[in-house]
Amino acid sequence: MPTRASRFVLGLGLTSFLSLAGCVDDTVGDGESGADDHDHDHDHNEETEIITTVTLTFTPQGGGSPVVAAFNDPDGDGGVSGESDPISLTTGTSYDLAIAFTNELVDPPEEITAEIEEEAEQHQIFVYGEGVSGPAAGDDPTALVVHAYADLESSYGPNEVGEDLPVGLLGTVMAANAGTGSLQVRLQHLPELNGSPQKVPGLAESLAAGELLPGEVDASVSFMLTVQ
Amino acid sequence: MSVTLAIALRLLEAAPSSAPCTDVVEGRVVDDTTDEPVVGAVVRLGDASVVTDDTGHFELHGICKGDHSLTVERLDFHTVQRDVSVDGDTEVDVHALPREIEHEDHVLVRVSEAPQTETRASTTLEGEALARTRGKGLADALSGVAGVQVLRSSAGGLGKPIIRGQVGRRVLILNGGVRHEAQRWGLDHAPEIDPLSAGSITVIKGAGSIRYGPDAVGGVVLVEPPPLPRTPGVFGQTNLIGVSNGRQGIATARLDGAHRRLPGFAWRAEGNVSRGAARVAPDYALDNTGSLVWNAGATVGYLGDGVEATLSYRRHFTKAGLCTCLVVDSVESFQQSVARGQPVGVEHYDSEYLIERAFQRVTHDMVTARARMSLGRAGELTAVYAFQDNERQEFDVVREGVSGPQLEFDLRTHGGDLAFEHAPVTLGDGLWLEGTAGASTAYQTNDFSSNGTLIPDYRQGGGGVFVIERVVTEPFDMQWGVRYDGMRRSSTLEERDYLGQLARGRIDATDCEDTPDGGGRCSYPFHAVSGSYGVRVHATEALDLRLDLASAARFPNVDELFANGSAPSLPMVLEGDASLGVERTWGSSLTAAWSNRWLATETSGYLNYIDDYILLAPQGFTTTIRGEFPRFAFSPVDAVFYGGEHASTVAPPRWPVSLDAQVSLVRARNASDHGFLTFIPPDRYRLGITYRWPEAWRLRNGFVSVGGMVVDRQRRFDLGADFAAPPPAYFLLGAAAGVQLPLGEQVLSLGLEGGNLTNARYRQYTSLLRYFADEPGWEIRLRLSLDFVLHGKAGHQHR
Repeated sequence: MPTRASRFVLGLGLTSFLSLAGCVDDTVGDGESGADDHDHDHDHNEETEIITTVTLTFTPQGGGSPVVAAFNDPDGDGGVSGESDPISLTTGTSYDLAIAFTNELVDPPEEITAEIEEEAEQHQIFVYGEGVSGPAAGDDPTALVVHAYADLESSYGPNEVGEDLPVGLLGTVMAANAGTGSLQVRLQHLPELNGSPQKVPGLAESLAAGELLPGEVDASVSFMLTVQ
Repeated sequence: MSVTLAIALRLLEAAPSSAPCTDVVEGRVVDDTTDEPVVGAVVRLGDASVVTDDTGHFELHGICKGDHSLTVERLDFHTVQRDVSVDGDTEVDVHALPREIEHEDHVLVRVSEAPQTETRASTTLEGEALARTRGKGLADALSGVAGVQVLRSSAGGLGKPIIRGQVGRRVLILNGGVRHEAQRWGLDHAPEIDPLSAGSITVIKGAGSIRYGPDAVGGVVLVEPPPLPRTPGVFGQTNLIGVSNGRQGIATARLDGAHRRLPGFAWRAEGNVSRGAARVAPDYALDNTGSLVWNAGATVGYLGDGVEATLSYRRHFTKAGLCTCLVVDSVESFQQSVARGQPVGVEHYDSEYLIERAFQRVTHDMVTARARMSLGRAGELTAVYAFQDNERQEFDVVREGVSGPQLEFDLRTHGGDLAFEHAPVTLGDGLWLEGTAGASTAYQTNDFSSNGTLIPDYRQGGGGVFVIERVVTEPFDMQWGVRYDGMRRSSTLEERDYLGQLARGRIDATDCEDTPDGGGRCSYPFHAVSGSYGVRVHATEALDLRLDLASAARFPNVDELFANGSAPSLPMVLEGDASLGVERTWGSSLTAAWSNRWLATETSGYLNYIDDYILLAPQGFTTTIRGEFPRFAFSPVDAVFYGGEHASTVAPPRWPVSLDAQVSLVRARNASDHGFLTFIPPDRYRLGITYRWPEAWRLRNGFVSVGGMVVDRQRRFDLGADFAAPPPAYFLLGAAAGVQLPLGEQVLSLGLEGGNLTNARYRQYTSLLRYFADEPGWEIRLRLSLDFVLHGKAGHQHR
């Protein structure tokens, strides 16, 4: 016959088992951004936010035809290496820079730029490299080009969290000195971490100082830069 | 592991020394419940003592005439004490009552008897030794065994066992006798095995694939459920476990039953659930490393005289968060993270139960049908069919518009096994032949989905046949086996993947046919013959020697042939090689076990040469959208693994204190270029002391133990094939205490364990976390376990 103690411990065990099992469903739903349970439908809707193409469009502020350069890795991470077009700018000219991100693995190609605009408070683009002066590259009077941000989070929607910080989809580039170098573009995804924003003022300056940034690198591509 | 001799030992009366002492006392010790011989029991009479042999037989020489007290001791049996009157040669037969009859799961320490036929080094965890690991994952539960370490994944603190330097695809896990089929190749894919439902876990160290099929390069892990009850009643066990670090809670319940009116029929229902928050390192929380695991299973069986049949179903579910500290997005930020020594943004890290992206979610279902039939004098036939469905989903940190997993794998396996064990054939006096022949077959499909490429879908079918024969005599036994395996795998690459790999010359178009959507279906057959030879010699009563020579085959996994894409857990791009063939291991090991009244040791050394060892090595760079990534390609090299293990226990008779020591060493070299291999466990040393107090009031089996472990820095490494230098050596302090309280027919067990009690800050060379963050700090683990009988008689629930 069971003793009272065994009934108690068994009861305790079963109760905690059931109550823990009860939490299972809640937890499974967490962290999936409200996604349905895809366990058994096999519709394979996995969506990787793959970016295959980064397009830079330099439009001269005084008018003229824009300079367009793109990095493209048409088969994704594996297979063959991605390649970038060289950038050629003219000394003394100021350009409006627009940066676009696309996934060309799907047909029709997916515009990632619109998603970044929607989540402007969680993204920042940094322009730096050998030959660049600017917030993410530090001050360098001998640099080939000077980059500056020309947008803010509020350019794409109401600024709800923290300060109204630059995003970087739009910028200005002033071609200052002739020469050759490189221009690096990095898109950083900075989602909130445990309720605290990871996109905070001073990230560009931290990058210039060689520090590790929070969040994740979504794209980091390098272009050959020539200023004539 | 330890062989502690019973404490209550009576001083024996010495016979008058004047009488001539030339008599022989001989006899046999048998298990009172089964009449099986009791091997390795210590028989004492006066100053003379001897250990029983394989047949339970003992002989004591030089005994004086007169009245003596004879004692027979083995830890898992009640000590037998008998008065023997000696006058001339005397024969005594002793019936010993096993302790496990009381409560199988709470035997204080069981003599870890290796499977009698095993000529490799092996260790079995059961009883108290297994109970002390409850609440740990499979790999951590096994890491107390000499020669076994953990490859710690970044997900939820889980890991996979490393046996003699081999991990994942080179370690075979059998769950209830069925090969565990999962995405074993992934470094951060922990095996979907529930150690809480196991009745025993055995690690067989060393290469050998005759009995269980290919892949056992490092060794085999056998996870066995406790036996179903044979006597009427309803019995059960429940555990409640709490772990301080990560505020983890675990609850388990198991009910076994057999009915008086349906003799032979038995059932089991069991389940457990575990939930933990993110674990905490000494200086910060390992953000988002919480986990949720649950298991449920049911078994029905018929255990008749000549026939046994069981049907069981089991589901395992894991959801495990990946540490926020993991930075594998670009080589630049990865290296900055390594150099920084502490994750960026730790001030926002916290220990929560909530699991956010990135995380992994795995469901493993398994149905097993097993039948065992006696064929009378011919022998015994065992047939097993199993179906396993392993669904793995990996979720990355993504933009809010994206839902669902980024990687999805669904692996389905049907497996069938048939084994015939022939009845022993007597070849002569004290010499007989035992053996088993068998066949197995398996069919597997893998369905991978992702927007990017990584591995192709595949289907494979194959099978094997084997024979093992064993000649057994009293002083030694010898066995040899041979096995053939064949398998054909057909992999379907989608267009982009196929064209990309053709362009890079990684596959040969003549092996492939075009698919309608522009991709390719590539088929490759694999064949392998393996053999083994082993000897076990009882050199003296105290010394047992085992020699094993084996050749073991492993067929390349799908990633080794066709991987193409960025690795999920390290900043590298993977590249397969479709021309890879069978990986062949030539293994040898020598094991010596010594035991006497106060000392038990086991020492094992091994040397494995692996022909066409499939190595993942850096080969240049690939430019991706996230910058330049090192490209790691699979390529065949020759490799040598060697090393040894030693474990010993000193337990002086009549002393309540015992000492345990353990050493594990592994060396590995690429024999082609003499370079070192990566993720080879560094040298490990352990020392422990246990005090067992005598029974007091109603408390039984009480003990307190303190132990320390030193893990050296891995001094043999190749920085060119890794991303950071090995972390420094570290010391971890642990302690444990436990006691049992019988409550009528129930037994309540309490256990308390502490890990990393000095809160040491350390990193583990074989952990994926080592590049980013420290390992967890101190923890206390409290276990409460109750064995109960709802009705029926206690003491008869098993066997």
